[in-house]
Amino acid sequence: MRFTFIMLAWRNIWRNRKRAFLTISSIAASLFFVLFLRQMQFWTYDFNIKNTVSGSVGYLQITDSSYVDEKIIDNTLTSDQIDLNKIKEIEGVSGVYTKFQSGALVSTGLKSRFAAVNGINPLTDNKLLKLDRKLKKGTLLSPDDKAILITERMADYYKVSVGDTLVLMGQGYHGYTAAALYPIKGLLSFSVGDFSNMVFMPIKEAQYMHVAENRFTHVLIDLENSNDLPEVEKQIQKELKDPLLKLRTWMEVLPGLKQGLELDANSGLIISAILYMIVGFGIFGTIVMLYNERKFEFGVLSAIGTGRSSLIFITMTELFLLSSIGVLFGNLVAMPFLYYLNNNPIELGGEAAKAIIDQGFEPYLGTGMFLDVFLANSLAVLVIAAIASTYIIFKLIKINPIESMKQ
Amino acid sequence: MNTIIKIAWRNCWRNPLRTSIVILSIALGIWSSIFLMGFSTGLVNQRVDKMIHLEIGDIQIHSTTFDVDGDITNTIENIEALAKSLKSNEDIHSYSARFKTEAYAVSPHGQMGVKLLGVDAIAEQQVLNLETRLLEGTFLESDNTYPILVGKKLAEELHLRMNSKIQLNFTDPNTMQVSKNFKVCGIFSAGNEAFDGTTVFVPKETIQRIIGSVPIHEIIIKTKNETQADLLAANIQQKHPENLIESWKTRYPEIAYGVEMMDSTMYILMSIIIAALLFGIINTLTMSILERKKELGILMAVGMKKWNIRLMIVFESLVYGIVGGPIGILLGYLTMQYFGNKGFDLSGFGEGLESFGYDPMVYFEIAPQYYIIYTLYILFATFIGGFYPSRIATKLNPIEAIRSI
Repeated sequence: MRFTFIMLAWRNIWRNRKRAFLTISSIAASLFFVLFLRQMQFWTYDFNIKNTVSGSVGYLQITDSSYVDEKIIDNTLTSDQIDLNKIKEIEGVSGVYTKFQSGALVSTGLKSRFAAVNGINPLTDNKLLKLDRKLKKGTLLSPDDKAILITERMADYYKVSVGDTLVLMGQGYHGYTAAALYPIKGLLSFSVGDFSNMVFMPIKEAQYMHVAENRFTHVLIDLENSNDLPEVEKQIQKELKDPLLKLRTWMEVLPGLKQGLELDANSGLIISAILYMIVGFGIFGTIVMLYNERKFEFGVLSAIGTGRSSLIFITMTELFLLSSIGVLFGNLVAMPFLYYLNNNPIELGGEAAKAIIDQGFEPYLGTGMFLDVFLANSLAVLVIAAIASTYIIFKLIKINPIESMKQ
Repeated sequence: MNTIIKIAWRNCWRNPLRTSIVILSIALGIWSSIFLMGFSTGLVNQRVDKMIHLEIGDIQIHSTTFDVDGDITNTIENIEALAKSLKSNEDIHSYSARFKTEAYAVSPHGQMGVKLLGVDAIAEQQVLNLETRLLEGTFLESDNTYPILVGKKLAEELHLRMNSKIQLNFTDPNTMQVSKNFKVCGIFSAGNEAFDGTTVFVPKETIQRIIGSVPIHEIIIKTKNETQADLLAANIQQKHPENLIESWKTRYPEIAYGVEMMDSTMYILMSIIIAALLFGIINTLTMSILERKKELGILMAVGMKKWNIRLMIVFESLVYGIVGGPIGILLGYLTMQYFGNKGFDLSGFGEGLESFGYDPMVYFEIAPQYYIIYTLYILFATFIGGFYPSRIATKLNPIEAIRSI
């Protein structure tokens, strides 16, 4: 019996091909737009976190608890305080890196400017920070170099190039002055503003310059998958025996970035809500028409003894099939576009790029292939369809065969 | 013609529920477009406004070499003549000449690179309204010989409070490194982390004491009529070609571009919303035609011309736009009035917004022409929306149509 009903529902859909086609395409089109918008936003979210977070801040970072609001060399760590190998073994952790970050006045002749100083481990960081791709001139560092990499913007400002020397002056450990002369080994180009004044040197040399041998400012933990963050955080917390250590997620380190991204995601939610509202009205309109069109038929069926529950079952099946086909098409049509942009993100140029950088994001446009975005939005459409269908349920419950058959 | 319009109007109301749904969805579509537009315009304009009034002024003057070299010797040329002409210019409200250099700020709790501005407190307050954003202290009014005004973000980073000491290091014109201790006399919050974290103000006299002169690197100007800033900048530039005179739009193109980008984003969103609406309109009209096959067949059989039938259906579609559009516009207008006065609270995102210079309270704004643009847009859309269904109608065969149930 049920099978017959499902067959009936299926045939009902195709009684009016044009309408079926229009309804399906309106659902599919709206889902397509929403998917595109949301996948693009979540991709941006993910991409920005990966780029700004994974290399410099870390999904998770361990610091001395005093370093949290006082970022000075006195508040650094030593390797005796943490067992890094144990953390490396935790599932989901793709890398553990010690970092030395500070700042110094960089000058030559009349020109001096403050720059962030980054002590990096050339063996791992060249890849992690994508320095190989960002190198515009010269060569990358090797671990024992007594040399620095600077940004192209700094080179323009100081009018220097590879082979020239810059003076660095900052504060070292326990009141020492950190001052040194370094030759430039290479020039880097970063798109986002925060990196515009940045000096890179081997971590060993940075520790030496700051009179802080074997100390580092933080331990950066990279993850295989950002979704594992809460679980990994718990595991690491267990390993941290020293009460002076503080484990923080990137969200705690950079609350501004987190909120900026959330705001962006929320604005997307509002736009999706508007589109869904319009889709909802579209579906509701279809349902109202469907009922009016078949009022007579429903009356006849009811009069010859078809139960109300059966009528409701057939109609609901029909509507469910209709919206499912729409959802399926929406996903299928969106997929190739999303897949393409996922593999080939567009790099923006010119003023548009500057405006995006001005907002603190990287000037790239791409789309994600996040399963939960596909599922959540598909489900949203089905729920909207279900809510709209309640109209026909009420009408069918109250159906009066005699009235309905009067044309 | 009149008859056709009348028939179309009545046709629409033969099924009031269905028509109402379409009209309501059009109204909501328009309303949400206005809402988004008003919100984004308010957000972006407030940011630009804030930056002009608290951070950058309407027009800025630098030496032509300032952006290239950017060191302490790139001072403004011919400063006396320039000052004289600025003073006598009637379109200028006020101007402030500043000493500006990169400095390295150190406190016992940290270090930061900052832009050191040596200013005349009175002139500066006439151009910028930063004194309205003081959290503590005064705008450089202090008994101290070396007072300094710092931003909230910098104060947080370096753990500065009122009367805290902060050391500034910079290179003087003779390539000597100078360093001097200043005492915090005030803390401001312009609500933009980039500015609050990297800008410090000191009185010109302190610069005089430290390096023996006050080189001027930057002049910021407040105009009497903000909209004429571009023109005025070009005017001054013509008279003083030895310096670089730029309106904020030229100096900070990324801020100006943000406004433009928002505009195009809004058009794209509007088009997506209209596209979604179009499906609804076409769907509804197609339905109503298939329902009326018999009737349309009779109309054709009794001699109604095909293009009259098409016209009738296009008019039906237009009714949706003509009724739904104004309702949406009215709703939108009321929303604009409400949130334009009361503001829309986004303080839940306070820090994220502030780090990019946005205000957490957004006052909606919309250029009036958008009401007209949106109305025309929706009328055009409903007109187009009537075409496909009307084609179905004219393709009917009268005999078959009459026979159908």
